[in-house]
Amino acid sequence: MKSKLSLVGAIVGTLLVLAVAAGTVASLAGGLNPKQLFAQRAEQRNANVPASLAAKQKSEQQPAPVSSKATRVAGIQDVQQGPVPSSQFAVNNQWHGPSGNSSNTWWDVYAGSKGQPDGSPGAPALYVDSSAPTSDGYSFLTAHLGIFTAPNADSSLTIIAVNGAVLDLKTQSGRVYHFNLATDTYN
Amino acid sequence: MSPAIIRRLQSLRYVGYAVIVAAGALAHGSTPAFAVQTQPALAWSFYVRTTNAQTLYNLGYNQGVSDKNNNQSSEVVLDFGVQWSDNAHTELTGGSTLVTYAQVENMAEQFAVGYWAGTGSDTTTVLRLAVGTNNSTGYESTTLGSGWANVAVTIKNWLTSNGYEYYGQENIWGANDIEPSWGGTSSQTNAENWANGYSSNGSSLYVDYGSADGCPSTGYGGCNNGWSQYGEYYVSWGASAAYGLPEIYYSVNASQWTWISTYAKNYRGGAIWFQGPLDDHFLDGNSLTPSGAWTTFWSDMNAAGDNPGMVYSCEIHIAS
Repeated sequence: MKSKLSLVGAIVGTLLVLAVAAGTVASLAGGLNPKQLFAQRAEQRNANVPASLAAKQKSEQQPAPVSSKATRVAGIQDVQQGPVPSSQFAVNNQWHGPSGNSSNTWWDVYAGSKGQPDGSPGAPALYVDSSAPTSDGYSFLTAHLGIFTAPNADSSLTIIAVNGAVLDLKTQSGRVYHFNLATDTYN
Repeated sequence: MSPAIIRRLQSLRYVGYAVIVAAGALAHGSTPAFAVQTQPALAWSFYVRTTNAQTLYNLGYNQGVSDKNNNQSSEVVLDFGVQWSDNAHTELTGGSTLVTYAQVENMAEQFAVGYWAGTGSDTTTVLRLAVGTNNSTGYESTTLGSGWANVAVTIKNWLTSNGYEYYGQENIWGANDIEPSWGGTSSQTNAENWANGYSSNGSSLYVDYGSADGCPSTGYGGCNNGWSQYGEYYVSWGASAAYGLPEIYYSVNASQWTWISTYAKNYRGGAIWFQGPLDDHFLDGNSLTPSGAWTTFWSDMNAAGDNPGMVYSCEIHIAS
């Protein structure tokens, strides 16, 4: 009789411990903040791998990737991402187009100002590259032609028009400058 | 009083001394010194400037081999440039190469497949592949944010349906190089809208790997282009899907982000849990080295009283 009571007591005790543990887990889960819950749910949705799907063997030869040739777009673009970090050169806008008599070699011109480590603007300038397609046609080889500081400009530059090799530039105060890509000079 | 009682009282005296010394230390507010957490193995992120998917496969393969050898998971950002307003193309950085979202997905998928192959017999390391765009135009929106989340989900689904996710080794996120100086006069509002649009998808997370242009390196205040520390907090942590992998190119950047986190702690309910620093020493030899970025950022956050909890060390390169 005593041993039966002990057994019942042990079972009841175990159940109590399990209940407390389950309650603790539930309360911990309920204690997730909204961001944690969002991440948990997003990851759960992503982790739903179909059970029937077999693991692809890593030793298998994979199909060769398919690629498309690179294409460029010409014109003035209101895009501030430049070829280098803003801490080196901060871009207001940019222009891309064929250079002189070549249809393959393009000028890539970024207007703005030299950068500073904390992101504040430096001297008004143009950042000029040229680019030409690689032999496989998947990318472009870029050559850096220089950073050309506008000596008299009062603030960072923006390209407003292009006439042949001459860029029309404007500062934030509205003053207009011109830069000749053939001679790399302001006038 | 018996000798035994006197001996007990004498021993209690030493306990009292100990309590007084401990209380004094606490009252002084001394902070225990922490050694800087060990920097994880560096993982390379990329400005993608090619349309050659084989190149991406090869880079992913290299990362897989590295992770296998280091027995360590990694985070890699693939930057595909700015989204066009048609929500179907991006323009790669460093030129004017236009690619479709389908090309973006294909190249990211190939990077992940390369990783999967590169890890070989290792089925435990995990690549967090963050597919990136940026805010360098004036038309970021909820639609573009939601569209970019779809790109990440499409990549994930392709990997799953083709058997590359059996071991769950590729974790696909979105990413955005959000910088205050970019995006015109409504830059912050547009970036917040993008973050909300991405979050509304509900099936994918993203990492902000941007800058804190013009934000204070000490205290509270505004940032470039009308941005606030709140805006930086929101797009890198406050939005449901947002996490932060900030550009730490110079020491001042670590200070700027630490103060954004301090702002979050004091005004938004908690400090930011950054993934780690992103440096660009490979592209700019004057900027912080990977270990310099790690140590500076970790130390600044720790000095601010926040346990950094950073798990990745990343550096940006060019894939061409």
